[in-house]
Amino acid sequence: MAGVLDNLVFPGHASSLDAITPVAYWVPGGTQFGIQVGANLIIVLAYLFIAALVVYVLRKRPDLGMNRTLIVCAAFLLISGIGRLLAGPGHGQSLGLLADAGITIAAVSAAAVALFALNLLPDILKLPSRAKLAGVISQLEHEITERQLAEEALRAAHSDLESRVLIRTAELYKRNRELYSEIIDHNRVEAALRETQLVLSSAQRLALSNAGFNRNKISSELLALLAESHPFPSSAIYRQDRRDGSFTCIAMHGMPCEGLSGFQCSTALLARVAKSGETITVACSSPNGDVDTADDERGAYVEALIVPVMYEERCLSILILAGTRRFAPSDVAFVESLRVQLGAAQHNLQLYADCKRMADQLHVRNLEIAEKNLQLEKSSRIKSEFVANMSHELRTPLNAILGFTGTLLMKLPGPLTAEQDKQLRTVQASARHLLSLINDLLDVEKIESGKLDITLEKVVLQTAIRDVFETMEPLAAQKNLEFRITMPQAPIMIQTDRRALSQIIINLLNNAIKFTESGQVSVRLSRRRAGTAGTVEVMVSDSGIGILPERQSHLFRAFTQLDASSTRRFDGTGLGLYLSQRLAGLVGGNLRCKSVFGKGSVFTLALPLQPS
Amino acid sequence: MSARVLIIEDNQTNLELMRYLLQAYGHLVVAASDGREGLLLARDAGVHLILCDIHLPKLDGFGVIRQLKADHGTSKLPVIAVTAQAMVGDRDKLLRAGFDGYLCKPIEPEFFVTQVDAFLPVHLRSVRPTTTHSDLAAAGTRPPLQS
Repeated sequence: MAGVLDNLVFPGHASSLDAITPVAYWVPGGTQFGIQVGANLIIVLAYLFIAALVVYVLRKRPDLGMNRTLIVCAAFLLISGIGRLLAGPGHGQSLGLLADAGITIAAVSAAAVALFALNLLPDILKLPSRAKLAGVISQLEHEITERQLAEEALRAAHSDLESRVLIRTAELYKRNRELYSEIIDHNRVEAALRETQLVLSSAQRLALSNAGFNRNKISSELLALLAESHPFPSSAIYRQDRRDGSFTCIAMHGMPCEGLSGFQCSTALLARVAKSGETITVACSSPNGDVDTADDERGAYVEALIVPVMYEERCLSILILAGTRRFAPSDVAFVESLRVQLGAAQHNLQLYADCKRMADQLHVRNLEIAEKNLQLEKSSRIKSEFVANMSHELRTPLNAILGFTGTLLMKLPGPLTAEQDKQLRTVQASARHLLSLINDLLDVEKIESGKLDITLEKVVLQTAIRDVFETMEPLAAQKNLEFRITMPQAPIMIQTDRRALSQIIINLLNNAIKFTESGQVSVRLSRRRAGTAGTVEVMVSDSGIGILPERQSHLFRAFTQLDASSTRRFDGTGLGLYLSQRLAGLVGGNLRCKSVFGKGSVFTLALPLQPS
Repeated sequence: MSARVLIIEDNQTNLELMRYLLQAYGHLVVAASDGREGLLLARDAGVHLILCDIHLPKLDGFGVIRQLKADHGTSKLPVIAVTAQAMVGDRDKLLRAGFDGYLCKPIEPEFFVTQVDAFLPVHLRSVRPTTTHSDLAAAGTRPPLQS
């Protein structure tokens, strides 16, 4: 714009100054004159053209903000042009006045324009520089780019938003549908809930009023409730006996008379309903019908429901509900839901009753057991005392018998005849048998009362067995028995109770010698690894009378000798094997027997190599 | 040589048996039939050894042993309990009470005096009477289990 102004204004000014001066150069006539006229004309045309350009610019760009300047310029150019035209050469002297006038006008207007331009100068100077404008423009361009970018982002965001809205809308739509169906369901459930609440509130009242879980009382109260808040003034509950199928009335309400006679409903009908599991409605008016009703103050019954109360396809009881009007479908529906609840409730009550009965029985049983325990403890103590006293009391006379028999046999008072000696030995043997019995009884008492302590120590089996073997040797020698011992060379050492071990082997050898008239008695010690890991076995074999198979199972019981006659033939208390087995058990071993009747017996004591 | 032995025993038959056996082996016997009498004789009769029953009138065997062991004059005397008490722990109980030995009734006549002699100094022990009845040892009876 500034450029345009420069171009437009300054030539104008220059021209207007020129327009004042040419008068002095003007020389009329000749070629020079023709050039002047032509040039003048061109200048005038240029003035007018520039003025037209300015007006054109003014018209096209009124926004330049220099309208006044341009108008003044245009006016100045126009006037200068006209002035030049009027004052230019070629007009000759004829136009002298006009030329004066023109030049005057041109001068005046040039002066006016000059003043005006001077006035405009500050404004023009105030116009921004090109660099500044370029800065402003580039800033504007930058802003525009940014705005475009922002717009683009906005568009993207917008489209994103739109797609999200679409999705959300779809979701909302779906949720709406769901909610709708939920509401429908909810309504349905609510209706069902209302229905059950009726039943439950009844049940609750029953439960509250029945902390004792008395089945019959609960049933009665249920019936009372049904009469109170439902159209069933008369009702009864019958229970079917599981064994004979008979029906017993366990609760009744509003019945004019007692039991089935008051509310005549045949057992056959009840049985049929119980079997089918379906509720039936019967009319009460029919004189020959299954259900007959008696009148009472409230009037005749019109209808009765016979409701089987089921639990898991088993009829627990039958509910009979009679009404003085026909039952509405809602009444029947209520009863149907009631019977489901009642089934579960009765089943639970049954379970509770069973549990309670069992708990009661258990409690009674516990008390009995505790009582028994006390008695047992007491009797055990009494037994121990008795055995101790008996032992003491029997020992005292035995002391004299054995003692004086001994002194006689020792011939301390004097010599004996052979017969005296023989008879005295019989006395001695019998007294010793009696003493064995007492000692065995004491041992049984010790083991059974748990007073016998087991002391585990390292025992070399070969040594222990040989010790016993040597003490028993004279007995075997007396009967001329072959008495053998077989043991491995390498010492076998185990942890066991030395006295218990010796006692067992003494008992076994004693028995073997006692029941063997001829032949041999042998002891064999061996290790056993196969099958039963880590055990040692002490086998005592004899060629004696043997044991009948049916007797072998009784062998290790207390007080069972082979038979009454053998007690006489072979002294012994019948406690030896019992004691031996108990002792073997105490040291972690066991005792077993193999025998062939008439051929002999083998008793095997198995002991663990490692104590358990 | 022989020893003077005090027997405190209320059962006359058992007293006679022990007296007979001890005398047969050459010992002298002083007898008391209750605990008090036994204590008096133990102090005054100049005995070398005491055989004492437990169930005794007036003062039982535990009372006797307590006083004997408390008395300087008798505390060094060997005292052997001869009793029919053969229950669990009886032996330990008696030895703890102060008895020097324990013999369970019925006594074994063949070994009785030898068992008593074991508590006497060598010069007071009996002379074994000649007997041919060593076979009685293998008689098959056994003492009850002790624990």
